[in-house]
Amino acid sequence: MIGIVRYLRGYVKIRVWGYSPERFMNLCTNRGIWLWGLSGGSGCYTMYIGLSDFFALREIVRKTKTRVAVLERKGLPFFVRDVRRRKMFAAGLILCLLFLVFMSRFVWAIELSGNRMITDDELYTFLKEEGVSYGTPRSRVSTGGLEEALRETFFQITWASVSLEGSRISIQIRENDLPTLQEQEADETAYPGGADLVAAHDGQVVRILTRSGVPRVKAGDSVEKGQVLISGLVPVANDDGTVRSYEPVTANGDIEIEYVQGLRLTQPFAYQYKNYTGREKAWHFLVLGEKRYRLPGAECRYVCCDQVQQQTRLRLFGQIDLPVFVGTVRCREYLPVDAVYDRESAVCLLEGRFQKIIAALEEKGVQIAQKDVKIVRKTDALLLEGELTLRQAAAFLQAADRTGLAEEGTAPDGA
Amino acid sequence: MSRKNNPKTAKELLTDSLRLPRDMMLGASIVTAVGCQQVLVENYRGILEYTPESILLQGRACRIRVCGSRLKIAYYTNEDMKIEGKISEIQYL
Repeated sequence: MIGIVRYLRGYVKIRVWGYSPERFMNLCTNRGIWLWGLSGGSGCYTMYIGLSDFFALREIVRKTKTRVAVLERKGLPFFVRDVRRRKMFAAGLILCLLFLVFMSRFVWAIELSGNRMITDDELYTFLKEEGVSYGTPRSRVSTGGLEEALRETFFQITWASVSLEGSRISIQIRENDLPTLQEQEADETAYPGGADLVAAHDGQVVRILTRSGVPRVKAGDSVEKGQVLISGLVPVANDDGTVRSYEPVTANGDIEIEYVQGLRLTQPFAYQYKNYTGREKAWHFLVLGEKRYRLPGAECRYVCCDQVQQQTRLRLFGQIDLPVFVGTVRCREYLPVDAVYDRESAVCLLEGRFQKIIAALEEKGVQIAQKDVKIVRKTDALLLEGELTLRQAAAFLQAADRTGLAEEGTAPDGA
Repeated sequence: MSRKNNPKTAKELLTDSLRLPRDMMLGASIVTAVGCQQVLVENYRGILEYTPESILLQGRACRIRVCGSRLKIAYYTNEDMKIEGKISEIQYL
């Protein structure tokens, strides 16, 4: 802080020599003149003194019979004096500041966070429709309005926060993972004539729990893909037991289907690996809007190389995001080398791939009831083949199908 | 008790008995050494001698000599001063 004040007021570095420099210093401090950065010795000293104090030295110099020479001039007053001679530089500086102030009135960065089900593209499209995109004036952005519009447009969003910091809009949202009432309402509006839950796989029904609709299968039944499991047409019976009409509903329930899925993985013994030569080259690029410009520099002429690209956005003073990206592409040369896996390594790789498939299935909520696989050795590869017995809530909604139902005015099935 | 055995002046006795700060009442200098590279001196009158090897200060009651090498005065005001460098000795003369 003291440094900033000194800079703003201006200061000089002086050399003092003569009859009594020590007395010169003492008189300075007695008169409230602040000295700092004193060094030197044997009759010749250098020190810093404020610009305004420097003009009060005349009497002290006369009294102490010393001499003072200015070595350096520092601070804003000297900078302004120098700048006055360079009019174009001063004009450029002022124009730059005006440009910065002008540009800071627009939105140059949009940050999205918290979205999982709603993609970034969907949100960007939504923002564009709301009139918010890169280059939109800050004054036209209504954060409250955007928050409300976000919640109204995307029913998955349970909480939204839009904040405007400098030239950056930060949008934070929280999505609801559970099916909401709105989703159910959306299903109902999508299928006004009712919807059936149909099987997504051939298999056997393990468990069925109906919430709305009429179950058409029971646990233990074999079903085919596309077969209606829960009907969305609920029969309304007359007093005599005949069907008066069908009330359309959106079928809802939990259905678990067990099915068998074949699996076949091949791991060839021959493979190629990258033998890095250690040679690297990097070149830089600049992205302005949609265009990418390559900056002059080393060219990558490797036959085989890995390219790693890094890109960063330019930000002024850590606050103002500019629509300019700079980046580096790093090329690492390698030579492809042919090699052969031994049996153990190939088995390890194959088992690793198999475990990944299992993990991916489990992540999707698929239960693995039984694994029946074996590894077979062929001449040039290892083969993992077999079957997986999977259990999954494999049903989807489809417009209600009236085929196979009793005609209105007749007795229902089994009645 | 004779005065010879108790060299304290009346002012010192008063300061001690009333527990007043000695630097205010007697003008004693305060010397604060931070490691062997920094010395802060308060309550002094002025510089008597300054070389890169020693700085002699005039206190109100005595003189203080700070010896060392590459001695510099970081700042110097009427109230206090900060000496920087490699300090080897502080003497009261």
